[in-house]
Amino acid sequence: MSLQKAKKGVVLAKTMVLSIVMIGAIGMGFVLTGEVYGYGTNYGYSPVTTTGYDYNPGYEYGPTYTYGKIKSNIVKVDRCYQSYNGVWVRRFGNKRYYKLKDAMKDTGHGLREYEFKCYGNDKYRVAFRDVFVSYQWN
Amino acid sequence: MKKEFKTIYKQWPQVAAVFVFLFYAINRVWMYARYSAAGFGYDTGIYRHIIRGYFERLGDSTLPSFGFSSFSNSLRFLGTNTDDILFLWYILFGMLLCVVFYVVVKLYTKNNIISLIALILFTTSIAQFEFFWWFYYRNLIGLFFVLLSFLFLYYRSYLLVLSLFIIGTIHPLSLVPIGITLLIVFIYDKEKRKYLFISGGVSLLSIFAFNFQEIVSYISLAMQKTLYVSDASKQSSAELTGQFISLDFYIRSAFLYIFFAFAGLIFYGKKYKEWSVFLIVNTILFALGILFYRRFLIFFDVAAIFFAAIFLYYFLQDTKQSKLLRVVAILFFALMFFQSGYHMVSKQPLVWSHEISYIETIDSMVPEDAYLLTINSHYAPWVQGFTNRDVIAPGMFEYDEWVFEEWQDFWHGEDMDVRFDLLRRYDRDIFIFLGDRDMWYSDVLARDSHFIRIKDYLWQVSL
Repeated sequence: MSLQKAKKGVVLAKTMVLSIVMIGAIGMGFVLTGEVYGYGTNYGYSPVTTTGYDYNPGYEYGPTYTYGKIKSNIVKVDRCYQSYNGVWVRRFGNKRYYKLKDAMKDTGHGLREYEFKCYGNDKYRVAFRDVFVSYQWN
Repeated sequence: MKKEFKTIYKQWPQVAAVFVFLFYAINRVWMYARYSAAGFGYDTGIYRHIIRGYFERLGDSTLPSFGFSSFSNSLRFLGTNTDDILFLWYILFGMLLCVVFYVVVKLYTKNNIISLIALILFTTSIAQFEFFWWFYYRNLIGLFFVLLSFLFLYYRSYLLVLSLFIIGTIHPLSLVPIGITLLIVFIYDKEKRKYLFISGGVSLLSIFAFNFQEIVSYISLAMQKTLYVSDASKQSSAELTGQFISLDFYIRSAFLYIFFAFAGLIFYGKKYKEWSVFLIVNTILFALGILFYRRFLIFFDVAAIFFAAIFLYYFLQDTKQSKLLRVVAILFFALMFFQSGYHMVSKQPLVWSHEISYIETIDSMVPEDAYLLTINSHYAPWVQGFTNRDVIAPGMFEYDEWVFEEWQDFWHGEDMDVRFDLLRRYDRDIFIFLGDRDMWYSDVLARDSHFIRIKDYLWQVSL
């Protein structure tokens, strides 16, 4: 094998190493999922996913959440734009957009966790599940 | 013009460093600019309370010794107000930290491009962003002087005495990794032995003389709670971890450079012995789970960045020959900026600005001798820092007289009389603060006329 070929091989290997590390970083959830981007996404309104933080030295009163099965509906709108924590929609011929934010809330059907995703430009999908709150202490 | 362009082109690493520093400045100011006092982490309120309290009670011998107060009191004497010390000086130290890191890397490596790479890694490090955001004020000053110690060590300057003294006084924990590192250097490096013996000895004696009480309290804490966090109770262990990011979070956030750091240590560790020792010492301190061990990740990260930058510099030498590698390398660094930028803009505060505004109005509605009770330990530091009232909080501060089971009764109990009995233990009036997270509790309070609503977020107890 010539020296030139060996050099090319080294360069290719380096390129691959860099690429693998980049893909690994993306896979670690730091570009696509947003799961670990800071504490407090929807805080107070939906259970905070594991943050890796251990910040509070006092007692915590937080409840325990138990979830029901996920159900979903597709809703037709005039226009839908995806946001990082919900969707912006316009409907019934109105020009104003309003936001449907991913959250845990009670809209008359008991406490549910809602998640909104645009489904094309003129529909959104709302996924929801019942949430049961209990205060159990370990 | 052409000549000037050529000069700039020759100095491109320095020019690029200025732009990277601009990104760093935006990155560090972002949360404060967006959310004001609510923009920083859990310790903000605690520091506000400390800065104000130690100055107001200057000379009070009952106050526990706290080296940081020497720093904050000096600034207060110079006419700086509490919030300027809290935010302006904190941000200033944050900026200086970046500058001193760049200078130190340049000094040790004597290479502009390695310094630039290190600056990029430091600027885009999510661990460093989190560290700054959580408002570990003393730790930040500690890190700043740890880096300055490396600078003085390089020149064998006796200013090292001063920097070690400041670290040991303001944040003794930061003295542990740098102290052990210097001790190891003292053992293996004959040339620096005398210099380190004098510097280390004088600074240690000065620290003990000036801050003896605080040092003893740390030693006694280690004795009481056991040196290893895993042996502590569940409640204590949360606090004794150092309350910083977990190893899992760190690896995910530092994935882009962590492997290169270890590769750098293996290949170039011998050339930069002091930094190798520093990296290894911090790794061991973290791995052993010693008191406040998570904070050692901050020092570890700085050393890791140092070696990652050196390794990446040599690793990417072939970019001149390969266009593909050049493109991938550019994407690699772009991903760092993207990752950091995305993390920054997605970050949400622990409390909202309007909650801070509510808390700040409390002093005008609550008598001076009344207690202010927060049912949520999450809000406790802000309530303590942004009011002048004595605060009762779950499991925190000096006025909490209830054990956890009693707090459970207070939060969730069916019997209102149990709540009243608990409240009667205090001999002064009590007002209850509810943050946005606590609004469910207003239903509990509204059930009984002994609780009088003043605002949605403030209730008076009338027994």
